[in-house]
Amino acid sequence: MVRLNWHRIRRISKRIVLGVFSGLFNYVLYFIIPDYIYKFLRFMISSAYPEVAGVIGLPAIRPTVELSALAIFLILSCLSSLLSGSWFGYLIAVTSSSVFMFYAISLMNFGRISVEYQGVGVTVEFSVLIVVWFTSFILDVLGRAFDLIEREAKFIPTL
Amino acid sequence: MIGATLRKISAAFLLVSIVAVFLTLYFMANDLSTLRVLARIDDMMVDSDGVHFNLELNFTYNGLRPLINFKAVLLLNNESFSSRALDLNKGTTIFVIPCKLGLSYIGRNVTASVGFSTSYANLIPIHVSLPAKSYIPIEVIAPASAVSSIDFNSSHAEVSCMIIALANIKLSGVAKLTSNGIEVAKTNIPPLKRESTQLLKWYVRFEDLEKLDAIEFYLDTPTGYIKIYEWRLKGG
Repeated sequence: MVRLNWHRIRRISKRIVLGVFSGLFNYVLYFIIPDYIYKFLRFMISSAYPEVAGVIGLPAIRPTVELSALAIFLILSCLSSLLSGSWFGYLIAVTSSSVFMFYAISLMNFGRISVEYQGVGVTVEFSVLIVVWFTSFILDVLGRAFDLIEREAKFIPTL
Repeated sequence: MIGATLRKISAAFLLVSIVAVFLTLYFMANDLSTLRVLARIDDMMVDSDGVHFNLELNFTYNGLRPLINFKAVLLLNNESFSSRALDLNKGTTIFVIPCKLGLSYIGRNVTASVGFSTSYANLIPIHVSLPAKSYIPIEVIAPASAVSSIDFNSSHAEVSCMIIALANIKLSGVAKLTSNGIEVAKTNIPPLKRESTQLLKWYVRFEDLEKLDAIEFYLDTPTGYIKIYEWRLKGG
């Protein structure tokens, strides 16, 4: 039976707080930044073609809060954080990262960003970016795996 | 140690790629804002297949990076015509797009949208379509003189005017003098060469002369007569 002493509660709370921060960071990275890329592109069209634009101004970074998406990001990040340091946690973390990555890439229409503004339509193909993101994801997955190998981690976490 | 290094490289990749996206968009927009286009119709020809013309697009570009494989695209009523691909460097580059439209478009302003596709820094493909504008008038004839009338005999007047061909017209046609849309007299128009003029004459009874309000021009096509131009004679 697992005994909940003060020390363990502190450790779990710390991991939950870390998970929340990590969830918020992931939400910014994988949701708000792709969304802002669209806004930025729209702003760029308005500055490139001022004849079609009304008021030109850099879009403010106003985070779009989608509660269901945010909840998924927070739950997965907290779960990853709680189970970190074990191979089971690794599987959860890799799955979460895959979900976040797929979410971001699908938000960016798999690298083909299309924006229409006042009749001007622009499609930019950022397939290079998707390749870089995917490489970064693979390196992160490998890095986590090496971390666990170096620490000789167990399959089940010890909190 | 290896794990931490890999994770640092991964984070660096991610950070650099995000910064690169915003910088690329910024520089790309700055470069594209220097791109200006002037359109001109050239070598218009009308035959039984339709209206053929070359759209000459003068692109003036002053961006920092060349636009690789730049291809101008013209969208005319859901039909797409494109030029061959060229690299667009600083200065003016002329693109010629051969176009063909149905005969029914003659005399109308065609809704056209000019766009282009290119590769920025030879790395990022971009497609841009500019707002649709009715800036391509498909005119094949125009009046070259005022309409005049003289007495021909005791009952009829001779009405005449000169027209100029704005295209090589390989089809013959008719020109009708009308009153409230009803034909009063008509005359034939032969096939015309571009920039050639043609004198048209009609014989009209004196009592009909005052009622004339328009000259309508038709082309004789394989599917029948198609109205290509209307010249209003009485203030609209």
